[in-house]
Parts: sequence; structure tokens; C-alpha cells
Amino acid sequence: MARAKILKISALVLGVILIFVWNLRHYRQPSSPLPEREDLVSVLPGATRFELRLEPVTYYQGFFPDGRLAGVAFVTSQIPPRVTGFTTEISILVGMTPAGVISRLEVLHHLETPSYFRMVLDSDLLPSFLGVDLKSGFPELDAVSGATISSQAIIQDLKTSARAVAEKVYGYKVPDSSVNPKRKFPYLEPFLVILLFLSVPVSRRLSRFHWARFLPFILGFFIIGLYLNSPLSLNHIVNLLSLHPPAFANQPGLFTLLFLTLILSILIGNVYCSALCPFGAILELGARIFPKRIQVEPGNIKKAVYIRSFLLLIVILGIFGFGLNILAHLEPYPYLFAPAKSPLLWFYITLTVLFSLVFRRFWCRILCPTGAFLDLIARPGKKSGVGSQESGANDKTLNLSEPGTSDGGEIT
Amino acid sequence: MKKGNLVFVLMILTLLSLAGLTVRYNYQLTLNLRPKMARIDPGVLARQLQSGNLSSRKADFFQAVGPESGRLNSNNTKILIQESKPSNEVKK
Repeated sequence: MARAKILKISALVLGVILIFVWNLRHYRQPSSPLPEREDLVSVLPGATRFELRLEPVTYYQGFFPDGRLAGVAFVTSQIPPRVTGFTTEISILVGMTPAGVISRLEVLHHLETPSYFRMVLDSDLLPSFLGVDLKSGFPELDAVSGATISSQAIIQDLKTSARAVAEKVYGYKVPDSSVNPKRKFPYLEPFLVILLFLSVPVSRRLSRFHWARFLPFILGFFIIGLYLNSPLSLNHIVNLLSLHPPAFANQPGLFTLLFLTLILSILIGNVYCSALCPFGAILELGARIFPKRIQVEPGNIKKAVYIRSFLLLIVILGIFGFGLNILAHLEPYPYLFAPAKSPLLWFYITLTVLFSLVFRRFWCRILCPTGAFLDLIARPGKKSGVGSQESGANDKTLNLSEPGTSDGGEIT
Repeated sequence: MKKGNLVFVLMILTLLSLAGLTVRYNYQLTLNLRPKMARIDPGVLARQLQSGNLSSRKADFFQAVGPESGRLNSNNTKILIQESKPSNEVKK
């Protein structure tokens, strides 16, 4: 027992030190690599000399051999406001002619989920920016279906940064309506997220009604899963730990969700896993419909719940110790709410759901590293309940399952 | 009970394997997004490494993937590496 405790504390200390050192090393460093000379040549063809300018915005001037200005190049992530995709900023190098026309562009760096970002690259989104004359404004551009968050971030970032360069460097006037189209309800996303969190105490108040227990789950499924397409995942946790939270400017819903989840986890307990997770809602519903469970010894379950903490440790070690950011893409559920095209990912999602039919919330309780993180920061004694053996029977947990019901898979 | 335990372990192993395959799948996609790079003379690379012109990060990268991954700029003074750049260079 003492050895297990020492191991747990050592793992926690190791993780905290790694994250601290990583942030110390990357303090004040740009989040993306700067363009090489070769990159500048590719977006400003013909230019042989380049000068970096830091005022009024960060940009590079390119000159022809005879000294004439070939154009300017800029990296979208270096020009405010900060715009984030599904994970963090997407750096695109843009070349703009002296006439204010976007001539070429090239993605320098991104940490988006590769399977989604490929959809963006295979689409016409980036080519549709070519030839855009900033003096006339931007045309209407649609997000790429299936990679909505990444493509919307690219559109917004390119528009705002290109406008800043055209106005501040060249002195052109860019029509505002083409950059910031008026939205009917600009704060709808944060409003819905706050409403979602408020539904948790409301469902508690109405606990005498059977359906009321599932109100937050149902709302979570529609708001977080279908509307925001952003169930909290390892990507969000990793970006938060590396001090790159989502930007409120273009992801107000996700920002509010992450902020409230963290604050409430620390103050009240892991509300997200126990009541709001959209994938948890599906697994919970499946377990209700299919009442049969496999019989597993409680001791084995007790040992197995450590797997998700171990997975979290592996991911933290891999990312903050060895720079393996790809490890943040191991969870199945983000691919469900932004439908993936790969049969492998669909097989993964299907099996995860099927396993939860015979073992209640199998993924959440045994394997989910995001849940492990939220439980880690949760107020002691107020874990989600989904990861513990005692959930459903323990008053201290925030589990919304019916009191007295057997927890999950074990019909022992 | 024994059967249940066995199924339980198999379920864990299956999902762990699929998690690993998903990471691998995404990793393969990032590799595919990288541009093909021109070959570089290993002698030039060796001189660059000896003279210390390469940053340690780039030197590590070269040692990990081999000299074929680099390329020279126009005046042969610096080795350029595009470690994580997707191959979506858009030509007008």
C-alpha cells in the first residue's frame, strides 16, 4: 500500500517537474518555428533580399535584385489577435504583393489532428485565398466539412492578419464587413455552456423525476458534442498545461467550457465526467438500454482503474519529455463528434461503445486519460465517480447514476 | 467470474492496441504531410556539423533521419530543414 502511494506521488512529481521545465524552456519562445529564407522565397518569388520588420506588425519585406519591393510576407500566428484551431495556433506564411493581393501561402506549423488537417489541405480552402485583393475585401468562404474548427480558425486568422498588414503596412482600407461578418448572437456559445453547467444543480433539484438525472448529459451531448464539436480531450489538457489555452476570440464556447470545468473541478469536483461529457452520455445511454454486464472481480477493477492514470503519465512524459505531441491523439471520442473518414477510427469508436454495453462506461473508468486528469485536480473526495469502483454507491462522488444501482460491469 | 476477468483483460488490451494504432495512423499522416526534400552532399553536412553552424536541435534531427533530409539554400551557407511543414505549398 505504502509502495503504491510512493509510486503515485513520484509519478505526480515527475509529471509536474516535466511540465514546469518544459514551460521554463519555452518561455517567451514563439509557439511556431520562424520562416526560413527558403520559405520566404517560396511565397515571394523573385525576391532575393529580405528584411524583418517588427513595427507596426511583424512582417518580412522582400526585394528584387534591383531593389524594388517584391512584396511582404507575414506569419498569421505572429499577428494579433490570437486565433486557435482545435488545439492551438495554425501558422501560415502569406505573401502579399505591393498591390495588396495575396499571392502565395504556405502552412508553416500546426498541431491539429492530422486526419482532420489533411481534409483542410485536400480542400480548396487555401487556394481560394490566392488572388484575393484586400482593397475589395474577402469573398464568402465556407468552412471545410468535417474539419470545421480548423478551417474556421484558418479563415479568421488569415482575414484578420492580412487585413492588419494591408492597412498598417500598405495603408489600404479593407472593408470591415468581409473580415468580421456580423453575427446575430455573438455570445451564444458561452451562454449555452453556462446554461449547461447550470443544468447540473437544476437536475439535482429535480432528482425525484427520473428523466431529470440525464438532463445535463443530454444538453452536454447537444451543446458540447454536436454544436461545439469539442468534447474535452487530451489535446486541450496538453495545450492548457503548455500555457496555450484556446483563444476566446474565436473559440468562446470552448474557452468557457475549459475554464468552468477546471474551476468547478477544483472547487466542487469533477462535474464534467460525471454529468456533462457527450461521449459519457452515449456510453451511459448504452448501458441503460443494454442491462447485461460481464462479471469481473472487484479487485481486478480496482487495479484496472490505474491504467488511465498510467496512460496520462505516458502522454505527459512523451509530450513534455520527448516532444511526441502525436500522443495527444489517442482518444476515440473526438473523432465521433467531427466524423472521421478512417475505418480504423470508426472501428475504435464502435468497439469502445460496444464494450461499454457490457461494462458501464468502460472507456471512462478504465482508459480515459482526460478523465484521469480531471479527477487528479478535483477536490479530494469529489472525484467523478466514473473511475472509482465505489461510484454509484458512494455519497461523496458526483455520480449521477441511480443510487443503489450496481456500478457498471461487475455483476459479482 | 474467470471468464469475465478474461474478457475484461481482453477488452482493455484491445482498446489499448487501437489507441496505439490511432496514434500511429495520425503519425503516418504527419509524415505524409511533409514535403519531399532534396538530397544533400553528406560531405557538406559533415562540414556544417564540424563547424558548429547547425543548431543542436537541427543536428539531432539530422543524426536521427540521415543527411538526405536536408537541403542547401541558394548560396550554400546554411542547411534548411522543414521538420514539420505540411506539403501544401500552393502554386498559383
